[in-house]
Amino acid sequence: MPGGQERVLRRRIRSVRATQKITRAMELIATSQIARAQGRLAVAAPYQRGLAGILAEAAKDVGTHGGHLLGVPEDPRRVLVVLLVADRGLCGGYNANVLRTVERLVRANGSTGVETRLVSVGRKAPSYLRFRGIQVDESFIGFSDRPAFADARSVAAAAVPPFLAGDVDQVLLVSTRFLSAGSQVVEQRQLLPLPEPSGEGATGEGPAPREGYVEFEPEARELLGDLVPRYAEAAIFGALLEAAASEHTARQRAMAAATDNAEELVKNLSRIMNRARQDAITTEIMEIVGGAEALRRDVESA
Amino acid sequence: MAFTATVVTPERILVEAEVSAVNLRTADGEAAFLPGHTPVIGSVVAGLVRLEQADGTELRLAVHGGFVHVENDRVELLAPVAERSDEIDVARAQRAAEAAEARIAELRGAEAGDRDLADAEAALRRAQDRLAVAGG
Repeated sequence: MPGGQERVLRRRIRSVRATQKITRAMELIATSQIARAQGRLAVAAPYQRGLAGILAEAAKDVGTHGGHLLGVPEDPRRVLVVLLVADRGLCGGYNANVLRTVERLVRANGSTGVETRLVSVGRKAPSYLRFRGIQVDESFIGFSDRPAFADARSVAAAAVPPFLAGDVDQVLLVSTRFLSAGSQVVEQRQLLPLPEPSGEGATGEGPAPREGYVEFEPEARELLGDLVPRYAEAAIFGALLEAAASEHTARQRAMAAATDNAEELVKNLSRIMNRARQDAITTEIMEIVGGAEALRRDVESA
Repeated sequence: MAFTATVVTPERILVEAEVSAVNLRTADGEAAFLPGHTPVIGSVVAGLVRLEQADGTELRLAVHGGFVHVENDRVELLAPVAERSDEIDVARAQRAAEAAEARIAELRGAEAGDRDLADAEAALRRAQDRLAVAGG
């Protein structure tokens, strides 16, 4: 039944076209979101830079007396991991890349007897991890694509107090860095204790040259205590914004690929459909010619 | 003599102005920064910050904690949350203050967790700070 095949193909083409419209719309939305997320990232930078500058000064002043608030713990036995993924899928490997990194980290910690707690942002995290038998202690959802500073504060409120109370030795952050529009990578870095400014990239540029000493009110050690939660929430906010920009970029890329793929599919299906239609016409002509031929033979033999 | 004061929050740069003096409260008490001040890093107590601008007008801000960094004739105020007096919604702050008071009363009666009570008290303080700043 050649006509039937043609109808089935026509319907498939229509459904692929409809899907293509959706993926193209999502692509356009993601594109506009990237620009917005990048803008927010740029606006947040001065605050973080300012805090990093204060941290550098305070760390210099306290020297080696920073206690457990500064530096890299030598042998952390209890680690809290904050991980950032998206609330929604349809963004290529964005979520899976972060989640796989976390899963590896948890398994590695498990084999060396390091106790790991997880705090997750994004709807996609708990389901993935729980399915693999990894417990998530606290999870936040609903703001991965447009994080506000208040959201960063609530995440910090889950991650910082256990560290200050001495329940964990180290707080790690696993998230996607937005290096540029073309390059985003999953990175695992230490959130707490605060990074030693002498280490890489804590400040960007060194403290400005000056005469005399900086006065601290209150004294540097106490100030460092105040700085820890502020710095952590600013760092989490920065990471959330970078993750959001990365998420939109990943989604834009995935949706562009899906739109292209739909285009290809429509092309192939149209070709098959046209061939089917032509086959049907050819068959029909053959039948007519055959019928006419048979009739003529009847007339001639009569 | 004027110098530059910036008030920076994570979501925007709230103020960048030429000022002749900055008045705020640090952990050690009231502080006024004038041009040529020695370098200071301090933690700021939530409440009113007054910027005396070079043109003689005064800018009033409500800041909710943060740090001040004075250096090379620049005052940088880093606050997680801050707003200008003309941005404060007085009616909303009033409502927030009342709601927080009601909540504190309720929590005291119920002997709830310290964390909830502390949250409510912080909310009340924030609302009161806003009202004080907006009130002129």
